[in-house]
Amino acid sequence: MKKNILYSSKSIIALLLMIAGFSCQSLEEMPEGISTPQNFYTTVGQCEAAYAGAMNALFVTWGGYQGLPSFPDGQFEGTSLDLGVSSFNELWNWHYKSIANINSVLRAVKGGSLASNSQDVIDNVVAQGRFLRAFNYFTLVRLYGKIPYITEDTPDPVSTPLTPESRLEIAKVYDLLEADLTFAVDHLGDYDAATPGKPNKWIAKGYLAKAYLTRATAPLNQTEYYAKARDVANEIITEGPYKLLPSLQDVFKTANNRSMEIMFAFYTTSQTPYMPGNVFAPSEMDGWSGGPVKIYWASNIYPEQPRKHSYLLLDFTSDVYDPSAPIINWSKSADGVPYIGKYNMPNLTYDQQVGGGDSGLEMKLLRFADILLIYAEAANMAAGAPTQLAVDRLNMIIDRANAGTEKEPRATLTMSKAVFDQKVIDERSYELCFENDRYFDVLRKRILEQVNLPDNAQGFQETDYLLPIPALDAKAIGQNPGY
Amino acid sequence: MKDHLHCQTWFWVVMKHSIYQLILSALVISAIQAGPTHAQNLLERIVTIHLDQSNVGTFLNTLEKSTGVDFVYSSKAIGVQRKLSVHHINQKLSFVLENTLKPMDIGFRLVDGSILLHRSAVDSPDANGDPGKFLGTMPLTDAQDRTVTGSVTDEKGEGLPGVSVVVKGTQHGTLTGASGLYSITVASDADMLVFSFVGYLWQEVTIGNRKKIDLSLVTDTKALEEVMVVGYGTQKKSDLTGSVSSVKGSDLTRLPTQRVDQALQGRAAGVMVQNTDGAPGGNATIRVRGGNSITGGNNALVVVDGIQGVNISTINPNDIESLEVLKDASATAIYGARGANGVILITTKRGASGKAVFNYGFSMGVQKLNHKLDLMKAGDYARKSNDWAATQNGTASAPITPVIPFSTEQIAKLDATGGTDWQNEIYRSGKLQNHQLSVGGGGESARFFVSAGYMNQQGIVVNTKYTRYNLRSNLDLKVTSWMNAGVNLNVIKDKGNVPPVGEGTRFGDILGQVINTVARFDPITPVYDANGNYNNKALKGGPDGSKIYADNDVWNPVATALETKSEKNNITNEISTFLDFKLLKGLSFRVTGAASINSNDEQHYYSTKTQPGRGVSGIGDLTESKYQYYQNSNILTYSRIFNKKHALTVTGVAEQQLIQSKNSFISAQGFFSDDTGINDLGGASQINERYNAQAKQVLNSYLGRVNYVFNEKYMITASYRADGSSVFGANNKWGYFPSAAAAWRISQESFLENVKAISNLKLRASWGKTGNQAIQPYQTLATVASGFNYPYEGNSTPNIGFALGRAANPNLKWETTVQTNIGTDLGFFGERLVATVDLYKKTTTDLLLNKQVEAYTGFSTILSNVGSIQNKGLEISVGGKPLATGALKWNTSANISFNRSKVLALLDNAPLAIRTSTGGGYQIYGSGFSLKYLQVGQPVDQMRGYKNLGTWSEAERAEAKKMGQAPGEAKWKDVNGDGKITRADDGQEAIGNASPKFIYGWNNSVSYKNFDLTFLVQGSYGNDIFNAVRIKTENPSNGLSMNLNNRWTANNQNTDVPVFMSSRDRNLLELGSNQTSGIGVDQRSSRWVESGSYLRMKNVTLTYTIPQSIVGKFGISRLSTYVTGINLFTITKYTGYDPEVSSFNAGGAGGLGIDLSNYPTAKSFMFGINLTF
Repeated sequence: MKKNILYSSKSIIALLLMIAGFSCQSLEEMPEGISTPQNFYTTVGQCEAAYAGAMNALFVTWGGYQGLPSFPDGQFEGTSLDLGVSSFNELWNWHYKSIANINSVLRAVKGGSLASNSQDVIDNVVAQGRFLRAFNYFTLVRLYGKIPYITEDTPDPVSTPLTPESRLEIAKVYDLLEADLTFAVDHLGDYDAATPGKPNKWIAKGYLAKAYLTRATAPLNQTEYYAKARDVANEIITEGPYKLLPSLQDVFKTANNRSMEIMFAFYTTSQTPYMPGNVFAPSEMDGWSGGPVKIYWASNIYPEQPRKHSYLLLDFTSDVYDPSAPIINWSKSADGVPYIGKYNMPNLTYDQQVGGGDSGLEMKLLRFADILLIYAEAANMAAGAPTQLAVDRLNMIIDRANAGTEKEPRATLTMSKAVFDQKVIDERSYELCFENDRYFDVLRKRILEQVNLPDNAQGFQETDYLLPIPALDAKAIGQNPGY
Repeated sequence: MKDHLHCQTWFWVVMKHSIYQLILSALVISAIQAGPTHAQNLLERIVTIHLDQSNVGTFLNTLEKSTGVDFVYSSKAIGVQRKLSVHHINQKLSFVLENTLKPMDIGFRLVDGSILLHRSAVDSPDANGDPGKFLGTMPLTDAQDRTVTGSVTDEKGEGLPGVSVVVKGTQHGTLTGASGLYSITVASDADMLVFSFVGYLWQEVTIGNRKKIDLSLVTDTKALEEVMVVGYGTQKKSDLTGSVSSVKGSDLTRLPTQRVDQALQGRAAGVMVQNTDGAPGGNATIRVRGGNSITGGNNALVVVDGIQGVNISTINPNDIESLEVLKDASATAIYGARGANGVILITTKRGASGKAVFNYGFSMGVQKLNHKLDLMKAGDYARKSNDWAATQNGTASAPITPVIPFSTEQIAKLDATGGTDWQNEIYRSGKLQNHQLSVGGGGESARFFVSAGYMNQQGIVVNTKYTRYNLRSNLDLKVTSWMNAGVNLNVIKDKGNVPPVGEGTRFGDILGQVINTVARFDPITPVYDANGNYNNKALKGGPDGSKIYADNDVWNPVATALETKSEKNNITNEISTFLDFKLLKGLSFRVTGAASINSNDEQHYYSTKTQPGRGVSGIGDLTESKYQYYQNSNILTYSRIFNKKHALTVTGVAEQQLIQSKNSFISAQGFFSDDTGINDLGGASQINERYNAQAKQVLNSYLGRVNYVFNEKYMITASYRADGSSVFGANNKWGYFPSAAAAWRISQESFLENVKAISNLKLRASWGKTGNQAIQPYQTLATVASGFNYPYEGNSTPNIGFALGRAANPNLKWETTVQTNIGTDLGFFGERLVATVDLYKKTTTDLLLNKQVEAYTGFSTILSNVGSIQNKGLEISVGGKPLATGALKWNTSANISFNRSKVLALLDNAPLAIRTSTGGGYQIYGSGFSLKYLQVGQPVDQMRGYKNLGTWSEAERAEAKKMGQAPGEAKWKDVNGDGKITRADDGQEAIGNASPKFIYGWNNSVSYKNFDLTFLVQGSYGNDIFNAVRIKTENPSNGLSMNLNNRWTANNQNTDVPVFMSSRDRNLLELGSNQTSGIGVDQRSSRWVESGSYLRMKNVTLTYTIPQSIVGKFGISRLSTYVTGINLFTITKYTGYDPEVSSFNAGGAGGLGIDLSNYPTAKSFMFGINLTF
């Protein structure tokens, strides 16, 4: 009897332990510190944070456009037309990453994630996203031609791979990005000094003007778009808040990062992202010798005028740490090349130049000067000859560049359409150099071989006007000819 | 959610909230019960027993149940089926046993709270037996005409009391006394004496005309069958079917670093331990039978007293009783999804019943740099600098007049002073000391083992140190006759200061790390300038007072070492409790609960005097992390022998594990004061980075195992485990891991019975599947992650940014390793010579790799199960006792392990670059290229790069010119034969393999009287090391290596160090475009690949044990003193600090065999004492 009692009590305790000890922890994961696409994008703030993230895909400290290889645009030294199969892959990756983040917001909003807000608020959020998406596709279509235009309605490309049919005709891509920009123009707010960098309707119009102008030139050559470009540019010039800074010395001063000449840029802050000041500096300035300027262009093409000495770094100190060190010309320097003046002292302070941290440098993407030049080009081409307004607006840039020296001749009404057009394109190359603009002019004006003469145009082919699509993507959607 | 709360049972609640109460109560219980009890009480227990026509086995079982004592015996040896009848009422247990067992020739002895039974020809009384008393009980035989005396000792030469000495063929005998002395009368010279003692091999001795017969008994490994710990249970060693290496705790405590991982080196076949840095408290990696995984980690699972996933560095080696390494799938598959990298089972010491035993150990010593790098002195460096500067003379069209930095007078002066020896400034003799105290003891109902330790170690680099405190308490309680309980507690606190070494600093710049820059700062510049400030930039002087700076990529190493603060604090609390139930005959149930709580904080601060901190007013970071692990295992074991011949053990386990972790990180710069630095975060002007994370991981498992042994000859084991893991993708939540094994003890067969030489011969074969669940929590979920800030609004502070982290990955699962193993265990001459040979093949499939996805998806990679790797190997270990019986004794064992890895499949079967991103600026990794590649059909640790063929000789001028080069310049192999060297085509040659052809260890113990000498030789053969440090030290412009003096000249053409050629001269040679420029700055050159083979005297220890006769007077049972030398010498051709290197974070597959200037290994000398009473 006693034995039996013993066993039963043992068994009961054991059983209890077994049942009690084995709790049912679920295998399903429910992260508490990580958001998912299912529970994010439910407030305007979250959507805008995702847009910030989409810009971060393009521009971060030490990454994104800060590490973009130099295009063979005839202004950077050391480039080649032998476009490596992989050298610009990253660019494709950044932009599609940015697009995926934007589409994720738009998909959620379309699914009603912001339903508790007014339609105006929702439209504004959507307009921001569609502007940013168009901004990305505008870069991609110019560099890669036929591309997939993935939107919030496209099935998840991870589980549903794209096919060669996903690549749209170039005109179709422009139609879609113009639709995105037009929606943005209609639903974005006005310039707000409290949020100077945030997409507004003027910035959207600026890109619309630029897209129209590009459409009017190669490869589509749809010349009817000149008039559209002219009109939108004119609207910005006459009705918008932006203006030209009077002194060219002020344009790239880090203190003037939010001047009314700057419409859109890859912005920096002292926290993140930022660019160090010594990357683009010559050895004498304790720099890393990044972004050397093409000697031939600086010496033989760029007109001698005050702007040249501001936008290019031609003469600099022989020891940045020694205030008494003599100034030398680039030809006497260790590296033997000029550098980008926009990225060096005196636009930076001494501390910004050598500190190694945030230098205040930004990468400008759209300046009011560009809008003036778009107007001049589009008005001339649309009218078949320079108009007074086109001449005046071009001369605004030239006058500022000359800074009273009259060294570069002004434009005149007597110029032929072609001469005036060439003058505008040249002026763009001087004014907007190293602002991620020149290469697109080279592409749309079909002057790739010409700008790389005399010394590095070897191996030029017509197919060089498009970049190769990264190999893995090309496997799914097809490759551009020539690669 | 509700469901989850509901399911929080008492168990988790207890584990989470009541651990300390539990410990407290356990301590109180032990205090009450451990005091007055005494082991001998066990035999004093009062027993009433009535058995008719029963057998020995039943008799013992009945006693076990009624008294709660444990009997330990071999059923065969004592004959459990022998019939008996017993009737006793209220008798002492000792009386019952003596009266019942003695007539059946079964002796008994109290060992560790259990009663050990053995068969003996004569009586074997308990250990405290008085020889005289028993003599009297012996029946006397015929006339005794003479007396023989002598002493019986054990293997260590200590007297063995209680040994029975019997005249063969008679009942006449005696026992040895307290110090092993005996005296016996014999009838004739022809008589033989039989000496026997539990646990020792019996010996027969012919008397002859001797009057004094001394002998030494040898341990009987068969009788005291070694029991091995296996997963979720124990097994007799002879019954093992799997491949298991075992290391004794005492072998692990000889290294002054007092780290289990490091001490394991060279001691077990198939186990490769690599010290990845020699820093105090530094890391070691343990690989069992090669690496299986690229991204999943390759370190073995460590299980301490049943707690899984313990960080091996938190174990005090002095607490270890035994360590087993489970290697084949038969042994590891029981750990399922965590078992693929092998399992290390550690059993800690437990109290033995009886008198409390105190042990105190103390050691102290010094550590020194093993060897210095061969660097230039100031004069040599100045001459070299002048020679180099002279070559900087522009081109023919734009000539430059070179500036020669040093005048003849300056050089003469430098030759006289020698300049600054930076290695002397940085390296020092580091002191270390170590205290260990332990107490073990207890009674029959409670036993305890408590230990405490303190270790303090100065590193050989200035400003580096490590301190560790540890405390362990292991309690065993006998609650009732059918229930045992136990509580183990381990608390360890360690802290250290080691500024970053290896692969760059936190901030990605090698200039912030001392070991690298110490070899690169020029010897001309003094440590401090005239004002006592650090000379940060190397100023190379210059004639006439002009200034010439050295290149930018150096920084004062003394400043780096002293002005960088890098503090680590770590506290680990481990507690485990268990309840053991004896439910039915052979059936027991064990419930264990364990919790391990680790909290860790780390801080770095680079002051304004360091390279990372200058210009930003100091930069630093704080990391805090908390890790909690809970484990509940419910183990049901049924173990029984049927019909004498069928031994069956069935184990079933239900287990769950829960891991919760939290961590946070913040980095900031712009500090108001270097004095407060990162300790005053409020004083920072800028936060650079901040994040925190928390994660939870659940593993629910069910497993079972069957062992069946027939007649001690044939044995099979089969196991099966199902693991449900929260980290697996939604479509693959459960993984299944089977295994099977068989063994045949041929030595038990009758045809070998008479072959005396063979004492053991066993063949084993096994097959099984294991997993590596190396997926981080939430990795299968789509995420939107923070940390992507950007000034979207264009203001001066960035807006918070969120971005898609990864795509959903519902199919992600564990890596599967299938392993087959065949092996044999051999024993000769009564186990005086033993050997184990194992042959294995492991194939890992579903390898976790970051698969590249089309960029248009917005993602770059997705972790996927693709790829396959194979490891094949052979392990041999041999042990022997060449000298076992005389005064001089020698035990020796050696092991050697061969492993060959091969990549079987990859994504697209294209070569896969591993580790393409790194700091450091060595130009051996980068976007799209890497030194290490995985390539189908090739070994895992293969290095690829450019084959350097030395330099072009003068005789090859024409040939060199074709390649666009000149005599004296580096000569490369033109792999694709296109007449030029290009990065794309010619950097694809295999230039090295970081995996050794074999590794080995040789362990010895020689004793003579009171002296005991042990030494361990250990090494590696056939592995290559990429000495990345030389890229910088042999850089012609500012390198310091003496190799630069061996550069090519017309008189020294047979060298691989290129010429210093002036740019103008080269220009004039009209070589055409420099066709090697295609490789650019790429430094993946075979010139930096060196042999990593080495043979090392890892440890030599000489111990002197003060004779018992002296220390016994002071109540001391053992007092010994020893001297130890660690890493006394290393034979190697490797020119870096140490061949046993690897890169800083070698956890993954890519890091092995790349020397990025890690903390050098030290040579140590120690003195210590060990006291037991």
